[in-house]
Amino acid sequence: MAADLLREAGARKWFLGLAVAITLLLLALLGGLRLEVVDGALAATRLFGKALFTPIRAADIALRPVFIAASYLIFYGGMAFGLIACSDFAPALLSPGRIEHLLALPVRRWELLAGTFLGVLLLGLLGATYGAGGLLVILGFKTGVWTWHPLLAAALAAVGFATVYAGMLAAAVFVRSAAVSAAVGALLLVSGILAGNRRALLTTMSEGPGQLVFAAWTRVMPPLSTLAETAADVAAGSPVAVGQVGTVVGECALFTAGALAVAVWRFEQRDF
Amino acid sequence: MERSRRRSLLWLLAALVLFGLGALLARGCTGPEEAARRPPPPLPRHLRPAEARRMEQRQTLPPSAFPDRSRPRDPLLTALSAPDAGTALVFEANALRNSPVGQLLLDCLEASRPRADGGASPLESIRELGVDPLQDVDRVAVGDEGMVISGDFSRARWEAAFGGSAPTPYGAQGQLYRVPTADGGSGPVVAAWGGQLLVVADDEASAQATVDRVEGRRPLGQVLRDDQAYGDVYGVLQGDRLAGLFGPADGPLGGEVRDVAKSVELHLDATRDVGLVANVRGDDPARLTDLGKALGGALVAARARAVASGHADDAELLEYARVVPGHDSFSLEMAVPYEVLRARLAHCGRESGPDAGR
Repeated sequence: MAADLLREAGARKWFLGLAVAITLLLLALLGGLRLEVVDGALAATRLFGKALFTPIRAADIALRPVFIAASYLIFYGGMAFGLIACSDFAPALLSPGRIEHLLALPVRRWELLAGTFLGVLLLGLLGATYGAGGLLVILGFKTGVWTWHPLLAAALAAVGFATVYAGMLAAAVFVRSAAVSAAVGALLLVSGILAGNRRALLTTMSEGPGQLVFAAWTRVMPPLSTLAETAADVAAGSPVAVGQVGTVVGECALFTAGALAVAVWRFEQRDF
Repeated sequence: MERSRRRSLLWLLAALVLFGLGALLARGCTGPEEAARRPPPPLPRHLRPAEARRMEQRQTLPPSAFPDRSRPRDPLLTALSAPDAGTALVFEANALRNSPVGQLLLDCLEASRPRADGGASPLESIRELGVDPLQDVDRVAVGDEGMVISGDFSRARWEAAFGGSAPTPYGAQGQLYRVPTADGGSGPVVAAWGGQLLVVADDEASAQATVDRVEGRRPLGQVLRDDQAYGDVYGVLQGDRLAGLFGPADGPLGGEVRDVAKSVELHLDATRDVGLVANVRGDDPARLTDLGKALGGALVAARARAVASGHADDAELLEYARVVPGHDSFSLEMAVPYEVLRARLAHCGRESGPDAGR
């Protein structure tokens, strides 16, 4: 099922466009980043014992802002693209004619949904890894700084997208509509940003039913903005507590599993 | 069919359990700031029955030799009530000392005191003069004309305390002491009254005027009414004293407070938690409203910034801070739970003790 979905994605111009866009962006970075400054400073240090014009900093520290920006771009940019590009996978799966064919195969219903989800998860992981991997290869060749941190950040971005897509998949099982699926994804993204900042936001609200509803809603929603910040920290090589990463990923994973369980529950009930 | 329905319900149950676990995990990582949400501490917003009883018990008639014996008065508040007075701030020293927070501060002071010299503490030096500051002092007040302390001073040896200065009797129950400075010049004038009041004034005229008010020989102003005497610290700041609290270093908000606020009435309660209410009044309702909103916004923003930047301690201090708008005033309310103060003062004084650095 997942392989089918990847084949289907490969046939779509959306994903071809994404691959081209990422490649063009990487090429622009390749030519545009003034990394010669770093190289020059390093060379001057070797030659003269000190930098000639600029205070020298370790290259990996100087590159931190680039890794952070790339991490946010992959996380939110990738998620925005995925919301649109992947919104009709599940409705297409459930379309008349195709669903009957799939149900006739020797697979359980929950396996159909899990396969669709895994396919999208793989798609997100591939896109994020291509972007982050390309960036670190370019920067590695130009500066000599080789780090695997952006790849880990890309994996966290894929976790974030998978969380949102689980909700989109559940929505599609209830209402077979790409627009509804994308709208639910957007709602989850916004809710996830709010959930990541819930403590700060709660302090700005006076006590009452509104605050209670907000507190309850954002407690269930996955803390996507916290996950994005964690991914940026990881990409930059900043110290991050393993427990903190585990908690955020755990919250997203539990939400994902919950949304998938809702999707399977509804899928099991439906007659086709 | 029945089996299929039961199986699908299991998926729904699993979803609920998973969402619940996610919410629990979110609760676990929100930290103590939110997990331990406490009921808001009580704030001193009006005179409470116990304080009304306390106020009545403190009221006494002026000595019988003087004409104005129309109603009993609180001697300390009377001492502060000069006709043109703009400032009066009263500390209920005994109540504060016996409060949980007062005990924390005393422990902190004791722990901070250097012990290496082995000398007597400042408290011991004062006790040798017949006054135990922790037992005998009831209230300490600051006014425009100086400081007034009330309590039980019947055993005090003031002559020894004020450099051997011989007292001059004044009024029915007053004794004036001229305290010399270290270089032999004229220092403050202290008036002891009736074994229950001690007035520290800049000059003799102010000390005499204070004793005159207490004994009913002078007209009174009304800087602080009896029904405003609630809380463990209370008072009114207005006029130049209030404006003098804010300077250029306080930024535009401080400047606006200086320009707009004409009087601030303060009440602080330290019965267990510490709660503060500051009622701010001014002549320009529109600017006062804007000032209240600006202060309220600044408090919320400061707390949000503290939360966002991981400064949980600062966020706790601002958790109950807010501005309540009124008709021609606004109230700034703040509260700090006892547990927060206890945690903050837990290590007080240890860094200065003999074990520091070990």
